[in-house]
Amino acid sequence: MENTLSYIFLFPLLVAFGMLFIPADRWRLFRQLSFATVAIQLVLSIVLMVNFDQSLTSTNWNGLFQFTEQTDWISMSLGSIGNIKIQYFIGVDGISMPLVGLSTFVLLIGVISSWNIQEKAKGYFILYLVLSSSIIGCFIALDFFLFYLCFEFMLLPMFFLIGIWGGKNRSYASIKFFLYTLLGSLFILVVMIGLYLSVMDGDSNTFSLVQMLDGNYRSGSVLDPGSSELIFGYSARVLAFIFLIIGFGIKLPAVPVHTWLPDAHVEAPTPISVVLAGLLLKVGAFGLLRIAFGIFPDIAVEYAGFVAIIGVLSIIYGGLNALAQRDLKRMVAYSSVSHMGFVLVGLASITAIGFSGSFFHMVSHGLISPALFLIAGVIYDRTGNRQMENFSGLAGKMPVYTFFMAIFFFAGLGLPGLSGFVGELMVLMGAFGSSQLSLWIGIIATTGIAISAAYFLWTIQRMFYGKYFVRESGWEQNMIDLTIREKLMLIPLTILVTLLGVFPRLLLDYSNETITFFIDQFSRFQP
Amino acid sequence: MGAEMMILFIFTLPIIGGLITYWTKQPTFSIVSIGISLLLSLGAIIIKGYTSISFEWLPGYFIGVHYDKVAAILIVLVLLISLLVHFFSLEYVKEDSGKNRYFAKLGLFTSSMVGLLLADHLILLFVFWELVGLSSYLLIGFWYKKEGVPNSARLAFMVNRVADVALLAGILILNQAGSLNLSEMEGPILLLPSLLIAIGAFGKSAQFPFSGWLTKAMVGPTPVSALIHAATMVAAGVYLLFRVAPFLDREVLTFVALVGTFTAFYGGLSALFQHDIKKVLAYSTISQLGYMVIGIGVGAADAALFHLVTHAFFKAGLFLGAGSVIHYLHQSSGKDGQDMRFMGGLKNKLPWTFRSFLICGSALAGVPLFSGFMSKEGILIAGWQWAEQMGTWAYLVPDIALITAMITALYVGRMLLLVFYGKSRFEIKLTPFKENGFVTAPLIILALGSMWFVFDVNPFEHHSWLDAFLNFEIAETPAWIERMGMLLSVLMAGVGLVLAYSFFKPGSNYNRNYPVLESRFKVAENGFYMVQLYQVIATGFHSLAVLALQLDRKIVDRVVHFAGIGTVVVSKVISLIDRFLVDGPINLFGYLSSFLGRRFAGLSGRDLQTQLSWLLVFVILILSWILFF
Repeated sequence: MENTLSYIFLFPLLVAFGMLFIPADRWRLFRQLSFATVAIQLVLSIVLMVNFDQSLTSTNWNGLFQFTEQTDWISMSLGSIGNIKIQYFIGVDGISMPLVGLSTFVLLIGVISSWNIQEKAKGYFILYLVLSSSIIGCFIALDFFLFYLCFEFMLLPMFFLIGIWGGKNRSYASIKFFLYTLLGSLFILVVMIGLYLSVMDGDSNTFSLVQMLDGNYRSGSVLDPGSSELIFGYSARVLAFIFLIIGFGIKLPAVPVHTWLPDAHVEAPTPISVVLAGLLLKVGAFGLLRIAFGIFPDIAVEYAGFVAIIGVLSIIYGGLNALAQRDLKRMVAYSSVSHMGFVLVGLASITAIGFSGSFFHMVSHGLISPALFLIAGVIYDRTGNRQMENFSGLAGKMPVYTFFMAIFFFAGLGLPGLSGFVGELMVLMGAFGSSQLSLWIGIIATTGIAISAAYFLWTIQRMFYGKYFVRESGWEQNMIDLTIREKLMLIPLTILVTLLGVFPRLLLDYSNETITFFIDQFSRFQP
Repeated sequence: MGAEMMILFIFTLPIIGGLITYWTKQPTFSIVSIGISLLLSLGAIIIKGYTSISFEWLPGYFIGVHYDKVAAILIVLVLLISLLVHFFSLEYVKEDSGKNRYFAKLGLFTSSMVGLLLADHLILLFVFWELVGLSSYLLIGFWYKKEGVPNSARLAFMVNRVADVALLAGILILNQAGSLNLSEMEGPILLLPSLLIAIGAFGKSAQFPFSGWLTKAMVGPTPVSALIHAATMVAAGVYLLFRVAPFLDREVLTFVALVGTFTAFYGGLSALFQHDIKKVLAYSTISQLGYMVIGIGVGAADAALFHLVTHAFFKAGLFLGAGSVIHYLHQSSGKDGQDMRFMGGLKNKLPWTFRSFLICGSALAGVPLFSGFMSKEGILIAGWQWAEQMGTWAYLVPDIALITAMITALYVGRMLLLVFYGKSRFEIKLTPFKENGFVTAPLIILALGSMWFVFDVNPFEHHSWLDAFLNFEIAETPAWIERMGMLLSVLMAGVGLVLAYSFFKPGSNYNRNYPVLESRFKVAENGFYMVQLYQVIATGFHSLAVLALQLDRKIVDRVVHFAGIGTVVVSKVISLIDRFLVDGPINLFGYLSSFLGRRFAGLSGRDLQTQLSWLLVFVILILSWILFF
């Protein structure tokens, strides 16, 4: 098991580097290599998941991480200021382990979905592999600097992948995406520096997330909970927490800082939408969970209501927007906003079931939303169009497509038996059981399940039911049912979504001990 | 075979059979698997395999399955009717290209319904609650190419879903208080969760104001209407209320009784003014579900359950009869005719359908010797007794229920006379079609199930062997209430039938006599504008969505946009400042030096004499400056 995590993390980078020396006209080789690389990542992460000790308990965060690798990376003397010490420190706990598994799986789906990319294939697949490395890095980094590096490094390939291989309005979308998330990162950067100055490992400052989680603050430092210093009338910890909510909230995305998402999704090519919705949003949620709620439990308890309101707002507002869309992909994009609201509500509940629900919903949405984007991609591949009013009665013409559409639309609207329901249910159980949140948060969040039904069913009615019709006769010959490659992507997703919907413990057994310990950390601050 | 295995098979066989049918295109598999499932469910009662199973669904969160006598009886009921409907469907959809899909969906429904009855834990119940809703949606939308069908399917699902929000919220509020397992539940439940759960039940059981979806559901295949939208799924709400009634808040129970009363009345009145035979039956179902809900509300859960069982038989019989009529018209005239004004005289064409329709209709109308009379009687008497305790205003409930009984008999009579008696009012274009065994066998069985002897030897008894079997405590009823109730309801049924005969007797001209009356009851004809109300709400909601979109485009995104533009403007200004104020003086110096440099550099290019003379000039200047200043 030694170093396996590093292989998962760094292997794509190595392959990407090797690809630089392959002539660009051999485009088939790039996709084969990428497929092999990500497949190896997936196999390795499955090996890790099998060997992961689900029952590991500990009295501090330090003991909760498994497969850890720690070594000094950058050590720099800054004269009188001291030393900057950055570690290469990675490891997984019960929350990040399944997310690593999810990432490698979704990335593999993404490669299969990229199978027909010929144009500038070399650049595409190199960027894709760099992206894959940095996503994994975000989930396993236990050093804040390393996390931040990976977090920032996701932007660069994403920017080019949307900006070069995207749709008509791609440059606008990619720049919007880049600037938006870069702004978010700046908030996180400020907090990172503050934490570095406040947290000690032994007698030197450290970027170690584990130390930050365990709260080894230098007394009197700016983010020390005991410190009485105020900045603009707020304690530095409150500001740091709010900064993190904004920073990760942009990535999540939470209303009202979500507007990059629809544009980015609509312009991105299908595989990139798959990765963006399936994984990048989860990085935002994971950051909130691990960093905002993990490092600032005292503030989180105090500001839970605020986070819950953002969450409820996202659920309702995102859902309403999805209902008003006429572009299939944009509808799916807004449904992501709505679903991510549930993650926020679950976190804000600060209960074991709510946290588990948020975590479950992250994974479940990580499976459902890629499938939804693939489904939107199917119609776009065939016609170059996604406007709902241009299609009708597809059920008769493309029955297999309709079957998978129905599975994932119903998974999206939270039908029991599919994974979407379990996540929402647990989040709502958390919201109703929370001592921080009022009953109304739960009740309003519950109405989200009716809104999601409204937009998914309406889409089914408009596009799949009724008499068969496509707007332009030129599309007619392309309206064939799913190809083998498309089925190859949707079938595994269907199996996982169903399996998790019926046996949620397959996933929750991983996170259970971690979340139990996590929730314990809040109990000191709860009334 | 252990009881647990038996239950597992009872639960899974229908869907497995449906799936095999889907792959192999052989409906026999569906029929056989449901048949086995039915035999097993009977076997489980014989071996008394009542049991509870609990499993850890979420970490530390156990969910229970509970197979008790109530579940056992209702599972037998569901499977029996499902089997009959499957059988009937063999004829009904035999020419439909999607029939394999149809049987798979029926299998999904049957399994989900059995699951709903087995669930002990409210969340598990909610799971199957949603799955029966899904199968209902899929089956309503079975003919998805037909105009209006997709919309009706969606409307039905959405109305249910809105009620489900209330149900889920109610369940989750209870989750805090204690066990959600029905068998371990402790009461009383607080007002808010009680109310929310009751509203959830109203959704599925089509009570006011959620009832509109059931009439829209009639666009589905008629056997589906018989199984899902009459006999089983719509009764799920009543079943849920039956299970939680002992723990519900008192005031909510009163509310339940009142809603049931209103629904019973309005459903009956609307049924009276429908032309579509399926609509009549749909409103009648709404009305009868209202009776069951009254039963729950007045504390006579046993009577409600009894009515649920009898209603399942006679209403399934009526729907299948209607299906037979519609099928006959379709086969003979090639048209889809459901309008009773264009039927008539089918008594001799469809003899078995007529006989079973007559029996099931009599049961619905509350004619003695038929099952519906006995069970409706139980509810009326319980309502009366309840009113005795509650005070004068509460007599509203049994009184309206009695009036509704009269209306029921009236519309049953109307339907029978219009469809089966008199002269034929439609043209036969194709060869006449004859009933066959697939049609008659289910009808006969359901008609037999609507007779009194199935439930008790005494046709005037308002309890049945179900009470004894399920160990219900039979409440003492004062003899005078029993006698009065009996008398009044026989009277009401009689009055209704006589009225029906006087209006619609064979030979009377429907189109001349009736439209005047109908025009006065537009409200009832349109089902109290329930569907229109939903459409208004949906339109309003959609406008809200469009508003949200505008907000997103015009304000939220615009802010970002302006922030972007603002940043660019600021940076342009800074760049100007940089160029002119910061860079400007530097450039000026540079320009000056280069200018001077060039001027002076010009000097060096001349000839030697000039240079020397300039040198002399400067030497003199410098010297004079040193000397004189």
